[in-house]
Amino acid sequence: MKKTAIVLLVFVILGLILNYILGGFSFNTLTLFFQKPDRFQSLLNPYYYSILILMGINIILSVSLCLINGLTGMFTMGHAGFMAIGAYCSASVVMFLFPNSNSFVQMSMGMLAAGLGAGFFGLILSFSVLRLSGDYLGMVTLGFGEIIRIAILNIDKVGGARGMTDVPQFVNLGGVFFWSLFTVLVIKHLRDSRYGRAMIAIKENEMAATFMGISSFQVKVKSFVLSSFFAGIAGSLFAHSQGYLSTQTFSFVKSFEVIAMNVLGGLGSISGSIIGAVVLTILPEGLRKVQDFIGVDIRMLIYALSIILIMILRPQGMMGTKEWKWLSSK
Amino acid sequence: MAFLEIKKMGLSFGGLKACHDVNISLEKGILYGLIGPNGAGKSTIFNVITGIYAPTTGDVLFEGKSLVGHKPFEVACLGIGRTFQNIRLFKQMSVVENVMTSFFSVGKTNLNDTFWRNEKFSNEEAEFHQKSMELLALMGLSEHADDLAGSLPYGKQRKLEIARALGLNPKLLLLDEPAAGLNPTETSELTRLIGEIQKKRNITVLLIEHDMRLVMEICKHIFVLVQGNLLCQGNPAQVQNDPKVIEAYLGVD
Repeated sequence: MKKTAIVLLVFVILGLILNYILGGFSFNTLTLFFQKPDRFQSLLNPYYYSILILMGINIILSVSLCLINGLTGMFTMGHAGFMAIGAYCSASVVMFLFPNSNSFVQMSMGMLAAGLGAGFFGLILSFSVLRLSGDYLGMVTLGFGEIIRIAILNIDKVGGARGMTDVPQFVNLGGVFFWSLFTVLVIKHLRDSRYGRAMIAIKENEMAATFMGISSFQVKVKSFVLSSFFAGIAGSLFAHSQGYLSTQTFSFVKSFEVIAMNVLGGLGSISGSIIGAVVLTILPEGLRKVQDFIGVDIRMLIYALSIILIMILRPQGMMGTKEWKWLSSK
Repeated sequence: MAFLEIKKMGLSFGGLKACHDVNISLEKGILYGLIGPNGAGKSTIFNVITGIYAPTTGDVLFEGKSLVGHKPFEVACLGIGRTFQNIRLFKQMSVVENVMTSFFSVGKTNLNDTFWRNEKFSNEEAEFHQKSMELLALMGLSEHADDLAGSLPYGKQRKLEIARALGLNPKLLLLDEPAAGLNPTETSELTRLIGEIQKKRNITVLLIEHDMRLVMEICKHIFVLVQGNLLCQGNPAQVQNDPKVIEAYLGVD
């Protein structure tokens, strides 16, 4: 208990230091994690700053998908749907319910709404579809993600097809950094507990797991809900860092991107999910430089080729099922 | 009242009768054998007891309560452990973790304890780990505790399956062909182990086996199943000399 508290405290301090160094903040406010970064005073070029924020969000998405996909062994393709729920819940709560509160209240309420909203939909979805498995589960969750997207597209209150503009921005790098480390910590601790063992057992051999007294339905629901909770948090961070929401962002392409991060890093490995998220965030942006240099629009071509190459050279993913030392169970 | 009672149990898949009016009753603390030619319905009986199939007719009573309608994990929690004909280990997990999974249902820690790693959590984990190591020591697998289960040789995988089933602290242990694929040395060692465990823990064991030497050596009471019907039962000597059994196995002139 002590150790976890210390680790959390270290995360907070790391986030604050990061904000102080990179964000151009001064230590004069208690709401440092919920303050819009002043990009003109930042040491980092705003472009790099936003890439780093996106990277943190992708790490949360990828590691949370690792819980469903890698640890429990369920193939889902609707992660962007949960992210969308989180993003729109958070933005709506902040803009319609707490328009004049300070950013601390706004952010905590927004994230709470995002996490609970996404978790609630995860619960409903898991209760209705977890009798399916394999490709069928993938199909249904893919459909679910699209249903969510189309539903939001038809709600005029949140902008509909125009998108949601003027979402208050107060997410900074320190905050995102803290949340991604927090997600990793939660999922690591979960993996090394009786629940984690039950999840891996279900992935390895569901029938044998049920004969060990494990209710596979219950465990699957737990992992699904927790994972969608974090996807919702990622959505909230996304909404309040971009300032603009469009349903286009949350199409199934986003879900596939997250799956690609998982597979690229190594299915079932938390470290792998992190690496996958980092690589797949940097790669398309880094290739812009290459494109500027060559002068031909082949960015996406190289992007696709490099993913194919990695999968040919290391089909088990970059980490396989291995973990970095600080994330391993021993 | 019998410990486990299968009463007039019948199971049919469409027109195929896998089991027909099977009556089996087990007393506490005795090692039973279930034999019969291939396709006789032995594994089907295991599957009915453990809740994979619901019997078409009849009933299964465990300590006086009906098992029909219970899901497999509920049956396991009631104290019925089983192993499988084709080994079903969690291959990517370590040997000790395989055994630790069986303690899932007795675990008291919730997700909150899991996150904070408080004393309750670490005590429980340590307890599970220690109990698992004891079971591994019992089966002679201590030195492999941290190896991947999938990397164990075949004979040791069989033993690990039994260790894992024992983790449930079962009152009834169902072993589905524990000696299948083992060489004679391994078989005789396993025979000794099963007998020893059964005596030490005073549990009821029902085992399916084709290795007659093993069955005749350790089983006190044997059921013979042929084509879904219970042909006869009795102690090893009775069963061995029963002309009906010889007919079922070898045929008649």
